[in-house]
Amino acid sequence: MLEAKFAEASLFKRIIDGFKDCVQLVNFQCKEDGIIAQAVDDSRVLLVSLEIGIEAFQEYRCDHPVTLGIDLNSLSKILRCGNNSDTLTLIADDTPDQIILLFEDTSRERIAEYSLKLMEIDADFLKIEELQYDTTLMMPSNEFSKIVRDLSQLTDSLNIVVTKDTIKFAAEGEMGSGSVILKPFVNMDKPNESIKLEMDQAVDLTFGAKYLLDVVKGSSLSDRVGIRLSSEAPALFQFDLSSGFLQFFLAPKFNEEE
Amino acid sequence: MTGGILKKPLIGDNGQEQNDSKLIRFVTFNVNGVRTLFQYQPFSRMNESLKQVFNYFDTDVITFQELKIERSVIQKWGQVDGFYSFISLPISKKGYSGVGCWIRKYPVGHPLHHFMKVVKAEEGITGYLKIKLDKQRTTRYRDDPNINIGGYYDILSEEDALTIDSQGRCVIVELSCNLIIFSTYCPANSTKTEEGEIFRMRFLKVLFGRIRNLERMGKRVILMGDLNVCRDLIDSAELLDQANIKIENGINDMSKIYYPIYKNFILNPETPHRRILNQLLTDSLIPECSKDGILIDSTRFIQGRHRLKMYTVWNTLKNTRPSNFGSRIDFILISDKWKDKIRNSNILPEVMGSDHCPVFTDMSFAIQEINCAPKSDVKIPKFEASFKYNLLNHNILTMFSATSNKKRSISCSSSSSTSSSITDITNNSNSVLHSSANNLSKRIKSNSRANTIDSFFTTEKSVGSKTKKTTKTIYPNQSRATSDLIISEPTSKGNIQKQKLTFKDIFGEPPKCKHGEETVLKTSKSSNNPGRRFWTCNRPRGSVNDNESSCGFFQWV
Repeated sequence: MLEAKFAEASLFKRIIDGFKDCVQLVNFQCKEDGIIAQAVDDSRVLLVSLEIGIEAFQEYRCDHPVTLGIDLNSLSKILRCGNNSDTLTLIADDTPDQIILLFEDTSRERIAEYSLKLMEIDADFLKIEELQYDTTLMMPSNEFSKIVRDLSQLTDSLNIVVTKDTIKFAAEGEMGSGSVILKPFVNMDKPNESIKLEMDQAVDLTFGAKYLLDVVKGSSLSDRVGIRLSSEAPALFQFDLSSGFLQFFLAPKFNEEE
Repeated sequence: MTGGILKKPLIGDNGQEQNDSKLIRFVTFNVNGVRTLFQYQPFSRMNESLKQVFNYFDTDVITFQELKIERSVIQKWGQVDGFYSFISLPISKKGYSGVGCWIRKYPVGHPLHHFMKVVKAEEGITGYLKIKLDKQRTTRYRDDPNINIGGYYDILSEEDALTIDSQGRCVIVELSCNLIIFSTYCPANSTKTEEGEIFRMRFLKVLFGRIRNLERMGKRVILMGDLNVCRDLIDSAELLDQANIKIENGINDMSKIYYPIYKNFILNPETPHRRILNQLLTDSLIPECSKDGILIDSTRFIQGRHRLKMYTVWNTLKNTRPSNFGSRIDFILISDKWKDKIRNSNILPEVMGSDHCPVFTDMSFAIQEINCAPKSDVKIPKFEASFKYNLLNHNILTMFSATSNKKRSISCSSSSSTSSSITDITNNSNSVLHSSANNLSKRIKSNSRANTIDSFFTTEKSVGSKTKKTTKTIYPNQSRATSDLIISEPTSKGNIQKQKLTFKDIFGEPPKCKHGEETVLKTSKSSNNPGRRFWTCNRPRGSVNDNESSCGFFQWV
């Protein structure tokens, strides 16, 4: 039996909206210690990994590990039916063929119940080893999101160069070019606006703008985004929840000469 | 119709399993906007994945015309897992025309791997278009014999040549089995202007001339796509009607009875495009035309001349598809020397999604022939969409397995240092997921070093079967797709019904038409009687001789 209650339905909605545009069919694995999910986009360039820890829930109970195969398009339709301030409870039995979503407005004693048919999704679950990164960067997620959106207008690929103490985002397209340079700084009053950089080795990577636009949809989950880059491994973009995270692993572009 | 009918047969004509030969399938489809295709059954369940569409057709070579896409959204259509993609888009007009050709990639070790390997690919028919070689250098196709397919038919100035190649109308692909595939969307002259006809004839002359040159060079050619030309009178319902020829089932070959009319259809000086197409064919009705023919119309070859009303396009405005009042302008024409390899060919009128329907042809090649294909390891042509449109991304799964492999080899000594440097990024930043399904990831890891492509392909398969399974669970009625298809076609029946109910009181009972059925109320849009209402037969328009279609009943209210 799975019973997972969110204090606010909007949290789960924001989580799902954060990655529903790049992957459609996702297996959610529910276990004693929370819910995890993983999916790769059709073109096999972007991998999404989600972890929701117990602390993110108001109440959480999972006696038996269950896997819920869900079509995110359908799920997000149902999630739109609830009010943001409702509580949301996910309910499934031990061998589920559907999941119940219960929206409760406690002040008005209004209860809305929806069920969603589950699917059998035959997807691999990758065990992601801890990767080595050359560079770790923490910055405000809305700033990152703006940079990506702005530069994507110019071209279909975006270049990220990190040197000793600068981070440069650059785009070059047919109509022109653009770049944004950031330097690490600490804002004592508003620590969330600080930019923090740890660099072992300079990196120069290019990513498909289309995929970065998918990544920044996670911005509504967290004020901060953690970015880790390496010339050898997929880039990691991470948005933290109060307990758990939404991670995007993105494979960089390569030159045809390689 | 279910996907099953579209599957290539596993058993040969003689009932024997085909161990001694392999079928190759060719499909052409004028999709009239590749995005709108996905609004129709069964494509609407495919999440805009071309791979699923191609697997639905079970095809090896597929070409789409009138893609109607822009450069900015090409990622979705230019990178299809398991296929080479070649896409030509118009240079100036955005969201117009556009031709794509996709060739299935067979993995190393598969009997067809070398046979179906793409050797060269070219955009346009004149060779004047340019291709990017690397970041700095570009070249015209015709200037570099290492990348061009050759056989140019030069009758135009460079300027005129670039004009006819500027509209994204042709993709040419050469396979290692000595086959050259032309995927084309030939210009129509729908407004019937003089310039339009000149443009069209120039295009056809250069295209056909080049095909002849290539055949002469010993290559085998397949010309597939929307040629926008009817080759015979029986391929146009409207012109049959105008000639007042009744189509009756049971007549084997009407061409004998109506030969003069048929002949005039082809040789009419006002329609030189029909003559020039017939001259390219070996199976033209007119022997003088076909004496220099080199290609055979594979669909007509299999279906024969007694198959009538075999149309591939219908007028959407007049809604002539239900009564099958259309014409046939989509072809798969195959080198006559390979005629004996044609096993099957037909139109697929059940497939909705466009004003055209798809056409397919199956060819079989003997194993000996397949094994003879040169085993050279040529590079993927620069025109492949990933290079041409700069879509090259690493594969995330391969990257993961590569890094984890490397990690294992340097053992765990390094892991402590990395974990310390990243501790502050987040409390839960362990990117090691506590996974339960370890066995799957193990499979990926163990395969990764030996041959990542293999592991890649097995994963593919499981994905394919998955989607089938899942669609079944949600839509238990999928086997009755035919009825769905009819429903999915945007008819206005519902509206008409409603209109009847509301207007009955005002206009009285509708009169009966010649079928004895209730007529439908319409509003005149002619300049003489604008806005005046009239009753007319409710059935779709079709041939005047066809009792099943509109009887032409008309009465002012």
